[in-house]
Amino acid sequence: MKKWSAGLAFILMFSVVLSACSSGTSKEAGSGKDDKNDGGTDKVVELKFTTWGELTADSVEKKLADQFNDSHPNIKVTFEPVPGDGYGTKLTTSLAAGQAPDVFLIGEGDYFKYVDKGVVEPLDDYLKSDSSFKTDIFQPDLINMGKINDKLYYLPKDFNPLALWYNKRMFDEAKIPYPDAKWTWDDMISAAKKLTKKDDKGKVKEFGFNATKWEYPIYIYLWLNGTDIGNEDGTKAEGFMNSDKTVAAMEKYVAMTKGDDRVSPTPQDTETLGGDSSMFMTDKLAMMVTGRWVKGDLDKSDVQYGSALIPTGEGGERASIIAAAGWAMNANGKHKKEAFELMKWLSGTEAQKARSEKGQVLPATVAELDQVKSKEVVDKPVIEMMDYAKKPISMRSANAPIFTEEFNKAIEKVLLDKSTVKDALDEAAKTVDSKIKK
Amino acid sequence: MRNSRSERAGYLFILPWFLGLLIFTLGPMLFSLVLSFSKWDIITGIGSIEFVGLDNFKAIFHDELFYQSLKVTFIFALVSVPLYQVVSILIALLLNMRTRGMKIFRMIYFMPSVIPAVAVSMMWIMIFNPEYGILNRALEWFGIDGPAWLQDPSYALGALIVMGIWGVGNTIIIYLSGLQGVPDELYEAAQLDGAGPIRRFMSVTVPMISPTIFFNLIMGIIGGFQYFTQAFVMTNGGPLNSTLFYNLYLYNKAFVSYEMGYASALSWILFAIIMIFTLIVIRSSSMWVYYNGDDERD
Repeated sequence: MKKWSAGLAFILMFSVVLSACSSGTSKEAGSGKDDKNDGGTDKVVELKFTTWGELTADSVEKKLADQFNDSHPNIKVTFEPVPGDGYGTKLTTSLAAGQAPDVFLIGEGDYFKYVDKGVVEPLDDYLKSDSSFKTDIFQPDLINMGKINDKLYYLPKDFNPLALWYNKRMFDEAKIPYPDAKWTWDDMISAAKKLTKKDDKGKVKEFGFNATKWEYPIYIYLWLNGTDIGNEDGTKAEGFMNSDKTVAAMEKYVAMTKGDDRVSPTPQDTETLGGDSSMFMTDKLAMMVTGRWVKGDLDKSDVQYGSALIPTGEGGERASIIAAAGWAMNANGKHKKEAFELMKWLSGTEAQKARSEKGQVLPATVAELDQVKSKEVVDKPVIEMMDYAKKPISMRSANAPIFTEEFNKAIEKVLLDKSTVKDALDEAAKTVDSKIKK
Repeated sequence: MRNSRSERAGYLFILPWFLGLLIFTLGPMLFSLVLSFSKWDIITGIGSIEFVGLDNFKAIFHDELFYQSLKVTFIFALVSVPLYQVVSILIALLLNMRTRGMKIFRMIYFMPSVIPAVAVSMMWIMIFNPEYGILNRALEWFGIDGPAWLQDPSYALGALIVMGIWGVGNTIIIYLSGLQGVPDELYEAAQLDGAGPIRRFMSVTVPMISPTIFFNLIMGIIGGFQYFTQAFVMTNGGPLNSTLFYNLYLYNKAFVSYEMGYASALSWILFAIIMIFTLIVIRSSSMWVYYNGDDERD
């Protein structure tokens, strides 16, 4: 036993020495690199940028990188895509190690978080000193999204506004007119009731609408009812997450998935039936509120579908959320001027055209988007929804994960019949506020 | 001279392994020990590590989810470790019989252990699917309306435990080799003394394979407390945290909310728990583990 502990002590000591050594050498290597860059200003500057997905050799981003290299002989940019699942972890750890790419892509849900951590460079000064590039070529909503505390941090790559998608065959079969611009949520729910079909045993086999547990459609519904799960700057849940309005709205929302006259699959149903879009494609779901990314899958199947504006509230109010991805500059990058050049190229008109060429994404620039709007029937309501976009709590506060975690837990409890809406939301609001205080 | 040279060669041979241990195991362990007394969100780099003393541990002992994850993990370990051992021994006994084609059966039972855990998990998600899953279809023949296994908080943990039985091939193989080490003459002697099959199993087989049981028990306890992959892939802790295993909670703290200090503290608590249970088993082993040849020494 004694021998063993002595051995362990030796190993620990040795490892301390060794780790000290290794950090020393890595520092040296780092400074060596610096010298090289400082020494020759006329030398080629090397930049890296990263996205999730786009892993194929002929991806648009890869081509854009090649074109950028051709037109900028003094900059050599490398494109390093990461598979979607590991993107957040990879980016975070590379930021920690100081090895992060000069330009990286961030999803709108994380816009606030990365700025809050101070790892994203504000772009206002670069824009001021560069008269050749104006942000007014972009949709104002998208630039507005990229602004946090009155500073611009993100330039748009692509975006997906939420809209209502409906299955035409199911509507035709039930002899119901397609959703129109005048629809309120109540109109939609009553249509969904007509579209829901049960088998002989009383089991629902075709659903009218998916009242998903995904937060975005829920936020939209809450906004239309004049409420939200938190206050504007995300510091308080009491009186918001459990306000009378929220409780009433959520009771109505949850009622869509519960009881004998339910119109929506439960999250469990959706999971076991392969997800909402595959239910939609196999004529088991008539309507859903989701982002335009779903179009890619729908086009591959033979489902007949259309898109419409998300229904209004009682008084005709509208609201939507834009899901977007924006380019961010690494605040600790070594070549920020060059990185800004790259960002201009990656978000600029040429890049927008290249990406939207085949219709997979919508262009973020006004001129190009107007063109799409005049041609594409299915995309028209989707683009129109942009005008009503609001910022969800995740884009307003670094506390958002606390709000969403407790809110989701509360809804899960309600759906599993473990609590009433009011009790669950009261408890959630209390927990959120106590966690924020810490 | 020759002696010291060969000694040096010996050290050189173990050097790669030893360096690997230092750099990839002991180094990170030491780092995580330091982190467990600090606050760190990773993103802002090593410079932002902030020493907070025992704050992480204090917070953990007031953390509802910590207790929930402990509860889930303990239930899992308490049920699954003995269950898997019993099932493994029973199957190993069957596979130890001398019948034709036994090699094929052995292969069949071992095969699941070769398949990656993620692939196995995906397959079981389909088996457990309440609508289309083969399990509920089979129950339907008997007129039973099967539950939504993985989506129902009262069944999810049980479903994972049952699923684990399918993957005990490794344990079976070790028991099998233990069984084959039991000398036939002991059975013959017992039989001559009039011992029936059950008596022979209890008085000959169990004591003779007790070192194997001892080994498998320790490995089982360690594996049980570190259960992660299947829960991560299949339920991600849900529904209602009913499958929030300790390691899954630890992972979420580290790589979802990026609270590295908190996660490191959690990992050291787990280390202590596993250490205690392993020590209990080791200490108790003198009472029930029989090593052939020990008698002569006494």
